[in-house]
Amino acid sequence: MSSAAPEPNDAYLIAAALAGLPEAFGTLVERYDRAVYHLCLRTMRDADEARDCTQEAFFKAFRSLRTFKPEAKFSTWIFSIAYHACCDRLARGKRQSRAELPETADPAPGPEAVAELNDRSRALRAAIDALPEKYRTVITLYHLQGKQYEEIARVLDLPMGTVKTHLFRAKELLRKALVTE
Amino acid sequence: MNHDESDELDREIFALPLAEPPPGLRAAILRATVYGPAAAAAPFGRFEIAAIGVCLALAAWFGIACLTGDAGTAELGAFLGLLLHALTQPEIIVWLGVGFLTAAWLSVAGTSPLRLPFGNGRAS
Repeated sequence: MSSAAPEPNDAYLIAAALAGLPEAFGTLVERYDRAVYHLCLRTMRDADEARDCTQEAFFKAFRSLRTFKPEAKFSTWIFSIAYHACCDRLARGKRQSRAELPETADPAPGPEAVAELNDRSRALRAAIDALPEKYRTVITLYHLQGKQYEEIARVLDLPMGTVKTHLFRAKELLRKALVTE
Repeated sequence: MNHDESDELDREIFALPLAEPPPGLRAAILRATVYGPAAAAAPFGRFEIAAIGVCLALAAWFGIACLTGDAGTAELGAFLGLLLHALTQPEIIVWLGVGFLTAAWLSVAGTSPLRLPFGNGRAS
């Protein structure tokens, strides 16, 4: 039997931050920084750029917290800000696209993450990194958000039909890549 | 492709661990937000606080003038009459509307170049 108090939900934490308790935003950072970093890393394929985009996303979210619509999901909002931060950086040409080097795309995985990855998982991650950007992003958000197609569509600012099509094609490419492994 | 293949791939995707953020990332974010400039997440911006302060001061002055009934009340009545007359002019109402809508838009959009993710009316 657990006596731990239930964790406050995102809406409560946002309301608390807006009411003058900025520490509540810290809990949101703890809750989502890893997922946001993962999205940025998969999008940028560069650990330094991903780190900068993650910081930028949370900074923008903090400054714009008043514009957050309570009926929306915070995860979708922060992913959207992070994704657009990545797109802006890519569009500004601050980073030159590199050759597909999936095994070096994540230069600093934690030791437990390395231990968890068996050959099949490593191959899958490599296959995801090798996908074209539009499919890679959809698969990454699918990984982070599950089958919430509408939320993925909001993050990417795409129609839901396009998201489903991209996801279908991405899975086809992954399946082919894994078969040829 | 059959459902079994799709389910298996889904399981594998969802089983992938998230990338490990670099050490110090969370601390850097917290320094820039929670422990940064305190006004960043304040419910009102500086200009809004100033505007609210002016309105409250005017309301307080008006209330005190009404209660004390001092010599300024007659002038205040004349001023309010003039204000009421102005507010019945269509062109003034139009300009006030434009100003109000601009203020509301600025309040929502802010002055940062941040792209509003839900600004396309597709928010849930």
